[in-house]
Amino acid sequence: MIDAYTIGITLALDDGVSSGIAAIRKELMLLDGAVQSAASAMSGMHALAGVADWTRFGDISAKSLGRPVSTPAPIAAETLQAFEPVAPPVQSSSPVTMPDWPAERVRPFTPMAMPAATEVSVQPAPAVVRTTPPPPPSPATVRPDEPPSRKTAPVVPAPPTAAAPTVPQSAPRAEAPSAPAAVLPEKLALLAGRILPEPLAGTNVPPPQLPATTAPQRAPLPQRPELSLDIIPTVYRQEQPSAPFAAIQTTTAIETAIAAQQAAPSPTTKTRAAPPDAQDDRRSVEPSMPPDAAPQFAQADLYIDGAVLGRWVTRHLERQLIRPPSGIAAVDPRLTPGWAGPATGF
Amino acid sequence: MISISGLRDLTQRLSNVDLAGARAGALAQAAGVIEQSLTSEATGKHALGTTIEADRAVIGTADPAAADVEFGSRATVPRPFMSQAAQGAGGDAADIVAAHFVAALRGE
Repeated sequence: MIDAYTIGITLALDDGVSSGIAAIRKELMLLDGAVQSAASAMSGMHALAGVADWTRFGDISAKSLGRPVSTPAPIAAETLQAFEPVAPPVQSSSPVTMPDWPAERVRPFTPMAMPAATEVSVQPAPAVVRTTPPPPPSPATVRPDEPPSRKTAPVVPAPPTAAAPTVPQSAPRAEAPSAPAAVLPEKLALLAGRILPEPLAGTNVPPPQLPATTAPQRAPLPQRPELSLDIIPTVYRQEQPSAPFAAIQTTTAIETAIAAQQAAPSPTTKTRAAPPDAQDDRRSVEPSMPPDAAPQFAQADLYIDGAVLGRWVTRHLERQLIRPPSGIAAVDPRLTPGWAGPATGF
Repeated sequence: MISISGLRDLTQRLSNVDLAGARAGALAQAAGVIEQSLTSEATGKHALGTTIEADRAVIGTADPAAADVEFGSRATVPRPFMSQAAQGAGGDAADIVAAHFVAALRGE
């Protein structure tokens, strides 16, 4: 057909669109498969979230990673013995002078940050979580290795106030008081568990041997049932991801209650109140785990509008098609035939 | 919740693009534009024809005098009209071809 013309213009097209469309289709099919996989995985996660207990999140993560699942071990008796009642520091403004030491070696003793623990210890029986009634207070509850002064020092119950309701010691502990009255002692006991065992377990400084003259100022030691409760939040902080939040919220409520109690101190808590600097130190180191470090469970839905994506791809292809990919879009002037006539220039 | 209906539609649409029809239509329209330009340049002295094959189109004439006019002769100086017409209509022809393929991709 072309030979029928003595002269003509040829317009030829190089098909580069078919291969490009095939490549785009392949990419889209891969994207579709990836989206389907993600959708199925999210469906599985939704189903799992509907039936799973968040407290077992750590176990599920460990199974998915192939790690051995750690189960909380029961609290050993040795652990309980490690948190036996220890004499709290003496609140004294003057430095304690040892009788045999030279004066230059004597340093003023700074009490450890345990104000909440001392205040909890003065609370009577309502600070109870146990359901079984503990044995009534009797001389048998006092440990035989305790010093005589601790045996003779009675636990003075705080007078009944609006901030800290009390229950007579003769009443069994299983009989829980009303709900508003039972919340505060329980949280105070948990706060005591967060503060008291940590400095005692981490310090190597033995408690100073106080002279006998300071014995009347020593506060009554916390009772064993309170300390047995104190270990539980410590274990939760290590094993359960949701425990830090609960501990921090409890601490905030307890601090408010403590501030209310400090506003109207009772005769018993007056001798046991911590100095202001100790309060500040306790608050500065109080959150053992920052809230940001705790795992947060967020749920998000992914919406991909296929129509919008398709229009975007179409516009992209349009721009690529409009732009000349290579070569020239016009007539090459070098292809112009030579002039007819006698050759010149040779 | 993930919606992938549009993505599937696009994949299906790309598999059904009529590239052959778009190519034929683009060649025909571009050749028509070039032929119109040749007609004005040649002032109607030569009979022009258009032939469209698979991937190319030819716009030419069978008149022997057209070559003499285009390339010149011993007695006449060349007065090129086809090269000038192709050069002037080349950009429009490229735009026409691109528009046809875009319309094909859009499913129009």
